[in-house]
Amino acid sequence: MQFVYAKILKYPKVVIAIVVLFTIVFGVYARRVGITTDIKAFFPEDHPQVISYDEIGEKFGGADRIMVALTTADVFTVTNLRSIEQLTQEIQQIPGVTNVRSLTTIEEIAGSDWGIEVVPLIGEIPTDQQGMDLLRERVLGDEMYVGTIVSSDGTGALHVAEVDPDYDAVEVALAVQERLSSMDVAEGKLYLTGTPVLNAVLADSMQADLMKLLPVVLLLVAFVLYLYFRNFRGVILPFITVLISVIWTLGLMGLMGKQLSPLNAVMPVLLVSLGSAYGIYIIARYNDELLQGADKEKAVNQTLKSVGISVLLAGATTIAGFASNASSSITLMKDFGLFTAYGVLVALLISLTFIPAMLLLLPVPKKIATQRSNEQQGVLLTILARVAHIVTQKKRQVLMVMAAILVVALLGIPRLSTDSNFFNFFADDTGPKIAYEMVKDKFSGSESVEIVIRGDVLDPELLHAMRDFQSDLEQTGLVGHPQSIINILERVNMALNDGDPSFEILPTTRELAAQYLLLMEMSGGEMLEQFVTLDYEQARIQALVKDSSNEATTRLFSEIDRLFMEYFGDLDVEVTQTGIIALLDALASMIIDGQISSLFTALVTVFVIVLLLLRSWEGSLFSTAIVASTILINFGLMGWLGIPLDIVTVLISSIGIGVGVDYSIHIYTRYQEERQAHDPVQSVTRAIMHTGKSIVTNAGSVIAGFLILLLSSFPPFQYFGSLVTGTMFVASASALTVLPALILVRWESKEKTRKEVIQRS
Amino acid sequence: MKKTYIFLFILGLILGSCGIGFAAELTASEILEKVDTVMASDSKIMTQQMTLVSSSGQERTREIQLQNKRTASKDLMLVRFLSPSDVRGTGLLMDDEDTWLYLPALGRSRRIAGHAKKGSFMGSDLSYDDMEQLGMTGFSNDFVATLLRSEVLLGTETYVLALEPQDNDSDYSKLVMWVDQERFLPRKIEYVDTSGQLLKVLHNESLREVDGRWIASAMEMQNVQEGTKTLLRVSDVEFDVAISDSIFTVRSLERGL
Repeated sequence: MQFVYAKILKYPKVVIAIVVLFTIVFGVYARRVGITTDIKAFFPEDHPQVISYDEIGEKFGGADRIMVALTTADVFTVTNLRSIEQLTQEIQQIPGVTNVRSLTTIEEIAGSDWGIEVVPLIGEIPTDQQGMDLLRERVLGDEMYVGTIVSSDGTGALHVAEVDPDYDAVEVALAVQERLSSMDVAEGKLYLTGTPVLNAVLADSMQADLMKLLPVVLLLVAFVLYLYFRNFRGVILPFITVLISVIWTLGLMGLMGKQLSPLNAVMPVLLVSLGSAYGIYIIARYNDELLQGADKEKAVNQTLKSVGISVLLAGATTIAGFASNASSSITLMKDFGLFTAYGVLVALLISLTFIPAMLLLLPVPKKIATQRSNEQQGVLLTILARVAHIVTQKKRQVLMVMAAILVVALLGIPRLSTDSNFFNFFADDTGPKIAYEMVKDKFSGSESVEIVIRGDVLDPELLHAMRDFQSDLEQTGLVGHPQSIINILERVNMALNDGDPSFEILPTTRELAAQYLLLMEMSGGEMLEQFVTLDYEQARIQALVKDSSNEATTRLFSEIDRLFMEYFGDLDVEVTQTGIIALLDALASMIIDGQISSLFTALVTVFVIVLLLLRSWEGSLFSTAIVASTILINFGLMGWLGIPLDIVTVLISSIGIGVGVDYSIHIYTRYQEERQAHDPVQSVTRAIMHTGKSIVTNAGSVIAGFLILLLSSFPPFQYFGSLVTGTMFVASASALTVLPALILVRWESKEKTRKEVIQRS
Repeated sequence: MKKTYIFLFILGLILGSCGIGFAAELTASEILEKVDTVMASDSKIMTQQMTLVSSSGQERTREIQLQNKRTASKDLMLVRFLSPSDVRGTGLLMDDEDTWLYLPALGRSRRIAGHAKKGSFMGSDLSYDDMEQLGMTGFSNDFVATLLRSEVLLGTETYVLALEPQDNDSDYSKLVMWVDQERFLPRKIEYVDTSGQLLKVLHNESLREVDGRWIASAMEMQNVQEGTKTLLRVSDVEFDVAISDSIFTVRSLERGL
């Protein structure tokens, strides 16, 4: 360490040149970083759910769907059917759209006295009222269409565009959006939704959000720095530090081909508000040294020697907190943790090398502001003195209050829910959410559950099991009318029996089923490909999910599991289910698992780091306990307030641990220092009085940084901002109250034992 | 300026006469007619295996027996499925207007819609038109040929023909055909769709002589846009057999195998 410092002091220009060079290189790569909102990016590539999901796209055509809804007073008018026809054609022409299902493209299996044919549902748009009424009656009376392409009341029509798996669904969604914006429908209103659309909008608004928040947080940091130092260099050096850390981090991401995601879009904001602190400590100490009469070199030297270690310690725990996310099985969370840890490390290194080098090169400032006016200091000191008094006098009560709070928090934990639903990213009054809710209300839903059955698909026993499974699945009320090869076979049977509905049943022999499918192939029906593979070894059942909330999907998946057992348990088949909803559900459970493991890792790592640096079991144990309680309170709060653990709020614990433990470390270090000259009560009081000042300032600036997130347009970021704020408040407040109380209580009990031992001897 | 025109005129004459000299050997339409005489037949009984391969690599194989006959008034075709066993006996009867399908498990035959003929032949990458041109009617009726060049393809001397459809109804804007100069059998055909994009490529392999004419006993039609392909393997074929018209009736269809 000493060696490094010596080098910095000797060659400041080299240090600066290296930093500038790296910044330029990383700057180039930083420009490559975009935003991805693909849910699959959250998963490791070999995750079984992702594999099944991709397989669906590959074997049965796209699993990603873009939906365009038309709402109007009555779909069944010449004008509106023409609009639907035109919209369908327009969407179909967009590259990457494999097919569009709508009232004007859907085909039906029609029986006639001479045979069967697969014909468009609407051959020609009826021009007379009678024809139109007949059409309405026919379409609205058919469960195959109601809820999937037309609403049951006939006021909404849906165009479902399937995306070619070889194309980027988000790009295709953007193309659809652009095409629609240049189109006008004669009557009614258009809504655009579906996961690719939401992802496209999400990526867009996230970028806009970042562009909005980053300048605000930079400005705020500059303002805080100015308040603190009252000179230009005090503002500019820490400011440059955080900029460099953001550039290096984004640069490394670009270099590794990583993208920002809904999860780590807050990272630049985080780095700015956390990264400035290290520079502040360095410059403040340097100013102090100058005030005490040191010359430039000596001041820098002294600063590095004395503050270096504590800055390093604070930085190390923060880095450990973020890095603990590396144990998560969620790929993006791992990325977030590691890159943010790296960013903090950069800020730390820059503060310890670049800033001292700059300080050496810059002339000594003419005037150094004494830090705050006496009056302000006075208020803060009075409060801290009061705190110290209470803590030393009523230590047991302080601990009891904390215990009571912890019990309340603990009671809130069972209420904690998880939510991995992407739709939460949209506030209720935004376009995408309105469209999503509308499609959910008028139609069966916009997302599907996809069930793949591997086995001998033509086996009548399996076909009947599939039919019973489908009808029971629909009975749960959680999904719309399921579609599969079953419906096609039943329709063919009906068509071959003069359209008699009592013949809408499955063929009874394998031969008949095989021959029906052959008949369909001969008739040019392309609908088969969506539901069965060429080799008849895999079949797909598709059902639109009515309610994609976490509770509903959890219930749906447990129902599916139960029905799997009931109908396919005894058969020689393999059944799996997938779809966006299933991916989201898998993500939710990964969030919980990841949370538990990263929480544990973070606590252990922080404990070890503090132990190594403080060389005190007591200090390390107490600091870790305080920060663990802080996290517990955070979870309790989330439980009581009904804020779900989602892909953003899940990050709070690692931040809380890494950053929050610093306050306890500062108090404990100071206490250890004071103990060399004072008794415990005096030491505690002095620690609270002196370190308390910097803790309040530091927590204040970190909290201010996180409060900026309340300006975000995404509810999860707003929750995140306020929860981190709360966590930082609790962490700093407990460091000033609970930790000293713990120290005193522990000392008293030790003292008591010691006295007893003396008495006995 | 004038000199240039004269030069171009002379050049044109020379090139033109070359073209004529070349054509004096065989014109493009003569080549195509020779192709047709090799490939087309008035009647034929053929057993073949048809394998469909999806873009993700799944396969389905069926064995069919195909009989066809050209009469003065119409083209007739009867297809019987031999395997797999669950569709064995299923029959398909086609004339110019109608298509009937006989399902043995149902014990009845059913007419299927006329527009089915527009699409693919039994779910394969070949359309009914492709099938007819390759096996029965030949290409001369539907296309105008121009000779592009001679070329060695896979060690065989070939004529390369460009075929343009005569009517606007065609699924293709152009076909490019590599014709074996010795056997007058197409070795490869590229099918270009109406938007000018390559759609399908046919390869003829395993050439053998049957009843004095060359046939390809293995064909592969690849749809490059969809990534699917169809393999056809001829196991047995007889040309110009006398087949009674009564074979191509619904009653005969319903008799089954």
